[in-house]
Amino acid sequence: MSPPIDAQNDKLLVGSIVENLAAELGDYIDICVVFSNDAARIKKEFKSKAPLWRLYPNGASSEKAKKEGSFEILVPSGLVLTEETDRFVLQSHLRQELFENYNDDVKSVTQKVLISSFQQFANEKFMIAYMHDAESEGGVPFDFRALSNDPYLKDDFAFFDVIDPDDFIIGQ
Amino acid sequence: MKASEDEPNIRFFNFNGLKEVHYKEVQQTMINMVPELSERYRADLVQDSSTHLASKEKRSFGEIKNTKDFKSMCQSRKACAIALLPSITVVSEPRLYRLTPF
Repeated sequence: MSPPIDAQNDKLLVGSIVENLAAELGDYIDICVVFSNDAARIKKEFKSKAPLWRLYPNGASSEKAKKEGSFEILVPSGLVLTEETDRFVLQSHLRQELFENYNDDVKSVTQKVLISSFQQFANEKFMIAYMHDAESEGGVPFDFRALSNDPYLKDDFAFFDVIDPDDFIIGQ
Repeated sequence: MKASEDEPNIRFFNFNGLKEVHYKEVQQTMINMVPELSERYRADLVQDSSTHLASKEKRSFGEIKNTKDFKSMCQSRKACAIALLPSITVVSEPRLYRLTPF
């Protein structure tokens, strides 16, 4: 049985998970963890006991919108953070929640719509399309989704996700 | 690529062969497609590095001789490093003890 962990140890262990996520995604996503010693306040504000994991939506500009759009991440119960395998499970779970709930600006379109969009956007934006098979695992890569929110690219580029394009469009 | 007065026809740029999407790699390629964007990006990089340099706190080194020194040089600061150096006055062979600013 693992020894009980104190708050300081807990910070270090959770910190290592956040550091791993930051090493993986930190070039383009701000990742942070907030520690609060005031468990009573957390319980009052979120009607939940600590420790509590919450995900705040990207793209929300005001504090109110951030808070209202946030929700609790339910993590698998019984995880012991001193165990490396459990930390890995938690890290994978947090990454999955982030990927699933990330607000991107990628438009999923058919090939036909993509071609008609060429005419619509041609004079306004550069169009970037990620084309893949319907069977390809994982769908659109997270890096591509995050690029659609890049502050430098947002105004000049439009991002598309095209499933099962014909050979003629791939060969363009 | 975006049509322009110089290039009224739509041009295609293909990432074929790119097995995985790497954020920085694709971002740089796209930024380089737009000269104005490229200039802005480079200007921001220069500004960021100069801001970073300006915000660096000046490091100071000194000998701790008493409790007062310890309080002022270590305890009252956010961080400090203490090096224990041998208290010898004659060095038998040339040695260099060097503290690297952290």
